[in-house]
Amino acid sequence: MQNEKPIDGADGEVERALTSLRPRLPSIDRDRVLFSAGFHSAHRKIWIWRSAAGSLAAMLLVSIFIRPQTPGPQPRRQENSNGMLAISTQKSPSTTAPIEIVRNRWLEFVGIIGKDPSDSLPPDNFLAVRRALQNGTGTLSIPGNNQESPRLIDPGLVDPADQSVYQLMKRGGQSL
Amino acid sequence: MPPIDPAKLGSWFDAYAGRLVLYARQWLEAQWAEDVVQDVFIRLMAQIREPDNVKSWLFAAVRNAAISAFRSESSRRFRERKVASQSQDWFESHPADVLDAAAAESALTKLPAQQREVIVLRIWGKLTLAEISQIVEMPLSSVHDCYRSGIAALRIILESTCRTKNP
Repeated sequence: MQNEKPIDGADGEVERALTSLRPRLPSIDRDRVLFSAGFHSAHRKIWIWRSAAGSLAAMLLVSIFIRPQTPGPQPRRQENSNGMLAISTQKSPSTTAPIEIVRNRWLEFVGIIGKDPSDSLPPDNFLAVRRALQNGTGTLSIPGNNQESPRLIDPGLVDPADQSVYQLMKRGGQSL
Repeated sequence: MPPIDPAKLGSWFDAYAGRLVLYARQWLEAQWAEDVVQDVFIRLMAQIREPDNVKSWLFAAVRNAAISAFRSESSRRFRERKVASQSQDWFESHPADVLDAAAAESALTKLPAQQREVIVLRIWGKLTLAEISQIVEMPLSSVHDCYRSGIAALRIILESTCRTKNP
């Protein structure tokens, strides 16, 4: 390119004289710069992994407390007046809001942690059953049929799926 | 593109650090200019991939960082303090040099900022005029004119200095 040609004449001599000058060497510590550059580069990658692991942990925690609590509508067989079989669907009786179920689980979880296992309330959900299993079957208090134990939580808000787990556990304990 | 090899970073530092500090000194004092250059090398290593033209990237990054530091209030206070305390020369001084380093520095400081920047990038940055036009965001023809007129102005300043010293 014509623009890149060196300058001729007196200005060219000045240009060549200037080219002979060397910039002063900086007092920057070369090794320190390279170490800092490598450190910052690696540090950024660590944060990527940390944030990814944190997000996954948060998602796991949320998935523990928010999970499908009601089975889908089950088909029910009906016989109508004409003698024909009609299949209809029935909605699950539980229409509890998920936020209330989550709140109940938190409250029960906190209550179980703070209590002595020997005087714990009858387990109403999966967490209580699991805790009872971990501590041994002796800590699993089974309420009598005619005896209504005091409840902290409204049983109507408890997940029916958890109730069924408890019933299974109860039957298993009695057969033993 | 692969990430930047640390060995390459070392070679770039050896090749360009001095020139980059000289370039940053168009706006900043010596210590502050070195800090800016150091930060730019750290930022270069943090890049996901190697820039296509590393030399141009380095000069452009130093320019942005130096101008930003120059404009910030904190650096202004720092600069005022540093001006009073110390001042390092721009060039290494050798008896065999055709041109006196101090006289060249003095003449360069008398030039308009734009001409001085183009001359520093061209002569000591060893950049092409096309690369300079991208860095300073000026048309190529304007950069060429700026460089030619800057060299001519330098010659006049240096000649007048010689006349003053040797009447």
